[in-house]
This record gives sequence, C-alpha cells and structure tokens, in this order.
Amino acid sequence: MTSAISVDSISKCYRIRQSARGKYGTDLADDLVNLFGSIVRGRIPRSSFHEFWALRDVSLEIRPGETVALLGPNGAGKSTLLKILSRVVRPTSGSATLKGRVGSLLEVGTGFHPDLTGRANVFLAGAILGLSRAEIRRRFDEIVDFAGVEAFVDTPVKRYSSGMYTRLAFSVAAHLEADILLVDEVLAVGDAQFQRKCLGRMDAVASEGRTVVFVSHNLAQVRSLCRRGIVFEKGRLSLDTGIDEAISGYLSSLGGSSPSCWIAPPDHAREAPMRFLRVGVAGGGVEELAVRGTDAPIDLEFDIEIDRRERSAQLAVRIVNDEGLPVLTTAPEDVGLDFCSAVGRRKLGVRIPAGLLAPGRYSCLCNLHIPGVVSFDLLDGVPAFEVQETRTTTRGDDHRKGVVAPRLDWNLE
Amino acid sequence: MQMARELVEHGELFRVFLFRQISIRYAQTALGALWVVLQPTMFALIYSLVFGVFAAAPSEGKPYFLFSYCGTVAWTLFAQGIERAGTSFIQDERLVTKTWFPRLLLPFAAASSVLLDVLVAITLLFIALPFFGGFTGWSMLLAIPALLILLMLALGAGTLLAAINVRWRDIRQATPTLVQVLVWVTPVAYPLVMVPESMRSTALANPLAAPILLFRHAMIGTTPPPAWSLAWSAAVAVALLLWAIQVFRRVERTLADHI
Repeated sequence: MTSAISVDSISKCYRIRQSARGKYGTDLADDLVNLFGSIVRGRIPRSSFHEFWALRDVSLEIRPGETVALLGPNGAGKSTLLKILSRVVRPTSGSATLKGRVGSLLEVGTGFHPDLTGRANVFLAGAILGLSRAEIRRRFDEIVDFAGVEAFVDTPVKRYSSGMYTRLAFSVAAHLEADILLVDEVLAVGDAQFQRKCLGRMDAVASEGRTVVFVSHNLAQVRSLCRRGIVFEKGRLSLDTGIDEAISGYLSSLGGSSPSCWIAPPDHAREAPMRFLRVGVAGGGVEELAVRGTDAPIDLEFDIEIDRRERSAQLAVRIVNDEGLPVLTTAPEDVGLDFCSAVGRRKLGVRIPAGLLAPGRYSCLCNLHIPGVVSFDLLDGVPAFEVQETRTTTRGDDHRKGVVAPRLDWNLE
Repeated sequence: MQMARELVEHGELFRVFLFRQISIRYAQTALGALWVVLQPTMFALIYSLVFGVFAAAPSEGKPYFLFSYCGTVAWTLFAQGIERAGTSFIQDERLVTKTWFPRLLLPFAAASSVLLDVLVAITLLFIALPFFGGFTGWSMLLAIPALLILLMLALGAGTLLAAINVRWRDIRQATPTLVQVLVWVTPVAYPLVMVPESMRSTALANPLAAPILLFRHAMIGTTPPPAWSLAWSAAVAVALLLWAIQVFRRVERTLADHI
C-alpha cells in the first residue's frame, strides 16, 4: 500500500552560533572579524557553533486516512517534524515524501496578515495551499460559516478577538480540501464548544480518507481524534503504536513533570514504608494546568504504595492559594477512614465541593506522615489547579473577594 | 524545472501577494495614491532647481521639470523595487516560518507591486504632456522594454538582497545608501551630455543608465541611448536575475532557520 507520508531517516540539526560578544545570533560584523582573522592566521575559522539535534534518524510511514498524534514533551521534536512535513524547514539529512496537497496549521493565524480583511485572508491562505480563486470561492461560505465570523468578513483581522482569529484560521485549513492536514497545538485556544467543533471537523476530514497529523498536549483531544500515537523523546522516535498505548507510554516517560498530575519517578522514596505513586486532579491533562469552573467539584486522586503498615500514619493534604495562604487541610482521618489498613497499592480520592474555592490558582502540599514524629513522603506544589468563575454577575471584579467563595444560604423574612 | 512548475502552480498566490502589497500600501496612508505622484514630483522639482536652474543643464529644449520627472518615475521602479523585494522576507517573517510556498514569489511580488505606482505616475505624465508639446507617437511603446529591463534589474538585485538580508540584517541599512549612490551615477536628474565625453561610455556601462534614457526618449523624445548600451543593460539584467535565482535557491533551504 502506498503511503501518504513517508519519512526516511530524517535528522535536523540546528546550529546555534555563539558569537564573540557572548550573545546568540549572527552578526555581519562578527562574521567579517572571523573571516579577517582567519585570513590573517591563514586557517579556517574556528567553529563556534553549538549544535542542537531537534530530530535524530526518524523514519515512519503514514497511510492515507490515518489519524496520527505526535506526542512528547516540549523540545522532543514533534513540532520540528511537523515543520519539515509542511516544508517550512528542511531536514539536515534524510527526506520526507508527502503525496497530495498539504494543509498545515502550525500556529494560530498562520499566514494571516493583520491588516487584511477576513475575506482577503481566506484567499491568501487558500492561495498558499496552491488553490485557484474559483476553488476558494466555492468553499468560502462554508469556511466563514464554520468559523462564525459572517458579520466580520470585511473587517481587518487585527480587530478580531483571538477566538475569532483562531476559528477562521482553523476553518480555512480544515475546509480547503488538503489531502494531508498537519495541525500543531492550535486548539489550545478557543472555547470548549469550538474545540469540540474542530475535533468533529477533523474527524470528518479523516473519515473522508484524508490524513491527519495532530500535535497537542491535550490528551483527551488526542485520544478522541487519533487512532495511532507516535511518541518522541529527545528527538528520537521512542514509541509508535495504538493511541491508548502511546498515551500511557508517554505519560510514564514523563515522570513527575506535570503540575496537575504528578507521577513518581523511579526510586522515589524507596526506603520509606509508604510513598506516593501518583497524585493528580481527576481528568487533568498531563502537561497543562487543570482548570475547573466554580460550578464544578474538583476531584483529587492519590495513588499510594504501602510496604508496611504504620499505626497512626496519616495522609494530609493542604490546599494553598497563589498567595501562599493555606486555605484548608484535609485528611481521610477526618471522616474516620484508615488508608493504612492494608499493604499494597491504594487509591484515594477526595472531592472539593463545587463553589467552595474562590477563583484563582491553587497547589497542594501532600504529606504521608506520623504527625509530629516522621514524614515518609512529602510533595510540595502538586497537584496544582485553577478555579475559574463560571457564573456571570453584575457586581464587578471584587464580588467574590475572599479566601473561599461558597454560596451561602440567604433568607428574607 | 520543479521550481518553475511550483511557481506556475502558485500563480494565484502571486496575484494575492501583489494585491496585498498594493492594498496595504494604499489603504494605510491618508493620502493614498497621492503619495505615489507626490514623491517623484518633489524629486523632479528639486532636480529642476539644482540642475535646471542652478547648474543650467541643457534638457534638449524640454521643460526641465518634465525631463527630470521622466527620469525619476523610471528610477522609482528600480529603487522601490529593490527596497521592497529586499525586505520582503522580513516583512512576512510569520508566513515564511509557518507556511510553505515557493519563496521567490515574495520578492517577485514585492518588486512587481511598484509597477502600479509607476503606472499612476505615467498617467499623470500623460495628462501633462499635451500642454508641453504633445506625445511622441509610436516610439512611446519603447517605454515598455525600458521598464522591463529596470524591473528585471530590480528583481535580480532585490532577490539577492532579500536572501542576504535574512542572514545579515545590516543589508537593510545598506540598501537605501546604495540606492542613493546609484541615483547620482545614473543620468536620472541630469542629462547624459553633462557627463564629460571621455567618461560617457563608462557612465553607460552602468546598466541602469540605458533604460532610464530610453524611457525618457519614449515619453518626451529626448536622445535615445546607443543600441549597444541597451543590449548591454538587457544582458546584465537577465544575467543578474538568473544569478540571483541561483543564489536564492541555495539560501532558500535554510531560510526559516535564520529568519
């Protein structure tokens, strides 16, 4: 079967120059000084490059109609690969072959010119794809309709809100009948409703037999859209498999790098009789901060491994707001729960009721300890999350001022 | 070959770039199209004062203002073309780092957009001509090859500068200086006869000289440049353009890395 995308041992090396004046970047003056110096000394200029390999020897095949997610921490090479596939960047070695028209969305509003109107930008973006005016015109209404910017097509896009901007950019890329759609992280912005709409559109694109390559840190999005996941680590391809396996492989490779979902690195608190394996906000993504509305409860989860039962050991969780003020401290013991009743792995959960916490950022202090005696495992700063106001009010910014913001029962006699 | 095919496939993009250049330029300035005429007019006035009045330079019986206006209009095509092409990648940095298209389209469209300015300026000239002795007749068509040579020179030099500009921003500062120097060694503001006889063929070795003289000849009927100088200019223009494309293709590979 022929591939839609065929990548043959691609490497990409960025040479970052350390100039004589100790700053990064290239300067004609420096180059002339170097050249002159080398002529005087009669030898080749000393290399002052710092090499960075963004990709090393990556090969892969993607068949038409596949939906593929590129996963990996920042700097792992996902975006570089996407740039190479969209021909923006050339690989240092190796080659990539793509069959068909490639539509890429590497950044919000790619190729949009702020001074041009929405209409003109749609034509610009279409022309970059190599479409004729007639082809773009045929799709124009659909694009504008999907983006929901009908009323503003003749307004320069610099006056657009960032949401409108994103919507139009995505809409153009998704509607212009590219055979291969490359999408990088663009759905991080925009409201949840539009994100769903975009995912639906990408699904439709894929079901028409077109190929989608998607980079996102939002694992829920990735899971719902893609069938295959490719994990990158330090520029190398480390895992290429079904999406669920790829996501768990990616998560375990991450270790404790996420604010909302901390995963114990190997050998964490090995000598202690009990330790945290994972603490997190339920449903929180791995690399992003979990955000919850004031109208929803927040569930925190704790995976603990117990080697030895310790009488009077306790789990304590303190929630601290972004001013460093402890908002509350809670423990399973509060409700008479003994988490240490058996050895092995235990999964605990606690629910912070909706509307209790005021909007803002929070982090936790998690402690496995015998109070006043010994601390077995102490985590500071995880899990972290953000609470956002979901109800609108007419009372201005300070209307929920305070450390907590429960909605209390009022009565009027 | 592949490059040529890609350029053709993206013909629509060339058109879009061209119109974008034009609409941005005209939409954002208060005086809009007036600027396009104002600039050569101002220069022509200054030249008339300095050369026509102070230095009493001969202008073959034509009003000196008309004489220098023609030179300035043709010069604008080169000067503006090289400037716009030279900065085109930096202007569209986001486009270059985030999307792919045949990169040559950018400097080409940028330089070509000056043609509209020149057309506007020529229109004004046509309005004025009947009051100053009328049109030259069929030889007016010679303006087309004259402008074509100038455009090719601008495309070639502009594309070279654009390629270098990405790597070394210093070039951006150097371009206006270069243009300033060139305008004085080219018979734009003064007639060729002011150049001492012994140096005249050296002056015509400047490939910009012949097309300027030809354009002036086409518009107001002054002495045309010798045929050899025209052939020379055309040859230099073609060679420069081909060389620029060659150099550009090498730089193109790493364009997004350096910008």
